[in-house]
Amino acid sequence: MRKKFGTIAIFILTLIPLLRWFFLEPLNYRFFNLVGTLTSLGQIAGILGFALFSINLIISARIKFLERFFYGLNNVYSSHHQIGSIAFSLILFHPLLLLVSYLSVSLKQGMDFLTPFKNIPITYGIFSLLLMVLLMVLTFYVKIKYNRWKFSHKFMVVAFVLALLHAMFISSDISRDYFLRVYLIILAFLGLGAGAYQAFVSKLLNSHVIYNLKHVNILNSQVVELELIPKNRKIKFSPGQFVFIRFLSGSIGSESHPFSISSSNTGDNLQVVIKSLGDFTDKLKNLEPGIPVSIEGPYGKFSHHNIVNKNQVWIAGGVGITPFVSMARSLNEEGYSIDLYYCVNRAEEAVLLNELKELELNKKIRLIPWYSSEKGYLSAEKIAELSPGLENKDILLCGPAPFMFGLKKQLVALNIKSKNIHFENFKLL
Amino acid sequence: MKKLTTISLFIFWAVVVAVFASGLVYYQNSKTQNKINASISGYQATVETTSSSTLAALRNNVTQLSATEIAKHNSAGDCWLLINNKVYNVTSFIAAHPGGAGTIIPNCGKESTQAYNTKGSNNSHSANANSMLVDYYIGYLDQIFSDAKNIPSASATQTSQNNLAASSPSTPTTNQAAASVTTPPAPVIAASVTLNMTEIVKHNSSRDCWLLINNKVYNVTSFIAAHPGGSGTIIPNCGKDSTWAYNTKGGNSPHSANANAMLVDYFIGNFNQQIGQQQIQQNVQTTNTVTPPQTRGGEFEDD
Repeated sequence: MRKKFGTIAIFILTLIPLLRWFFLEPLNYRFFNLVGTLTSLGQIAGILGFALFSINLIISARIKFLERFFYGLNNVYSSHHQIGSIAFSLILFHPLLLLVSYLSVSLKQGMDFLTPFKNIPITYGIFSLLLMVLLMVLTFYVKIKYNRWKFSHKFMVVAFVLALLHAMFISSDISRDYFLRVYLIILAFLGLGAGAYQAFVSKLLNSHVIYNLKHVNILNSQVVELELIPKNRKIKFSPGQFVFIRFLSGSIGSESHPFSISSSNTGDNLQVVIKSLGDFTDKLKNLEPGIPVSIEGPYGKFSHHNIVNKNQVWIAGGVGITPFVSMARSLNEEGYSIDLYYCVNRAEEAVLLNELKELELNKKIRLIPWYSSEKGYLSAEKIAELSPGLENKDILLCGPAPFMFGLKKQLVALNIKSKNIHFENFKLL
Repeated sequence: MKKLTTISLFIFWAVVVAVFASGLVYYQNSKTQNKINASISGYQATVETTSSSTLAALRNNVTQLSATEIAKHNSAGDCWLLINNKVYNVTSFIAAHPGGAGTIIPNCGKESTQAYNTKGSNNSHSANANSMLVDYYIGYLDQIFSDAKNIPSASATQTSQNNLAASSPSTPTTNQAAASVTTPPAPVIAASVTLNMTEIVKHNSSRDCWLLINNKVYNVTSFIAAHPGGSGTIIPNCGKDSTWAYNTKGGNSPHSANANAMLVDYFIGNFNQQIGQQQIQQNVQTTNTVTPPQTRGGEFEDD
């Protein structure tokens, strides 16, 4: 229920303008024939698309209290992803459904409707939509470097401002109804405000903490661990959380990237791990020790601390081991009984394995490395066999999405309650 | 989610490309078509004018909304007002007048511009009142009706009965007239209709919607759904004088030049113009497809 709170809030925020729209005019005026019905659906698509676009702007800013609503920033981002797709589709169908009524007059009216510079508010709408299409194509269909994509995605704000101008200046239910207009303006300005907060204010408010790079530890060709020393103060975090890191000098670019924390929460230094493809990892390898980095966070709700039951099974896929390393390193309280499955293809891909073996010697965890090239994929039956009494344990999953969802499905099939299965999709946009 | 986006994007571009592609093809074809249309309409125009001038000669029961005629309607049971050279039959409204029946009745059958504009003292009527008054419009001062029965007896609330009576008797005469002229062989006029208030109020639904705007009559039925301001803003005006509603969009701002240009496509005739049923049909059809020149102006002036 707690995890659904954010989704429910979004649903209600979207439902309000829809309900208002339904009671603005008698419905037989709106749905009196096919063309009228399609026009009305087009209007609904426009209003809902705009409302969801505003909401998406709000949740895309990394605001602390939103993380509580969604139970973890990774859930915020996965919502952002879904809402963005739904809003974009609604916005695409908005002109298409309205087009029908113009085409019912004549083909020329239909063409004029889709042509810019014929009508100022429609022109705003057309350019907003074209920019959105371009940015969504970059998001979904073109593989570009993370920092370039992230920079491009900021232009969504421009598309949003154009959409706002379109919505406010076009003659519609929004221009005729005071409530609808004020409601959408408030949502829009909350969105723009959240974006501005993220871009400018949060840095000034000192929510970012400065660390210096001590050491770059290359774990394999894709995975890099950084060790950081706090400059003045250190951040407080729960093991299992992650941070956003921005390099303040060097040739690596100023975009922030998400890193999982791998260090214990008791020490001074912060160790973080990132898996990245291509030249970002290469750039990390070449970083000079001593350069300052800005840390934003921590974020995430994925931690053994947040689970009452101390009988736990931790299952990591690939670099999804990182939060478990942090948890294992921080494991100081008594009473925990932990089986840690570490799934990789081959032994040489198992980063941080030696650290985990040391921790196993201290009897804190039982480590079960699982090489799928030798034993096949890890299945729920195998876990039940190796960890007896699985139904009384809580299970934590971290790894690629297909790995986690596949295992979750198998575990549920073995009558494990899904409230006892916890996971973090660490693939962030 | 990626699937949803992909499908939406595909449909979007497919439709947009289809519209522009068919638009291109269509306009290359229609260049030749337009020439044909223009010649047909020119031919029809000559037919129309000759036959309607004969019609005028055939009128035998002409009534004029003169001051003498207006003065006859001077009681609470039959009350006409002359306001700004326009004649209103407010009989059915007297009881509903917010200012009381007593302020209207003394003006029945009289020139009431002053009384209306000042409410007897120094207050003008509201914009709302002005728009209500339009519902009771029956004609302008000294307007000639071909038949006394053609004069709208009351307001927009009363509808078709007497109109049917008004239009059907004229049918045989017009047919005879068309037959007697005979020079052009085409039987263009099947029945003629006078675009007066009685006729207009018949078209007062979303399925059949005429608007009277600045003394011009428009059949906007096919446009209602396409109206950018929403169908709900047009439908209540169907069958009424919507000049005020059109010019102010219900109190906001005037329509754009683009909107004015679109309106022209739905023109069917000038107020009180006599026009063939077939012509109306034709205009309605043509507005749904192309916008040929014959619908654009008032070529078929009656008098």
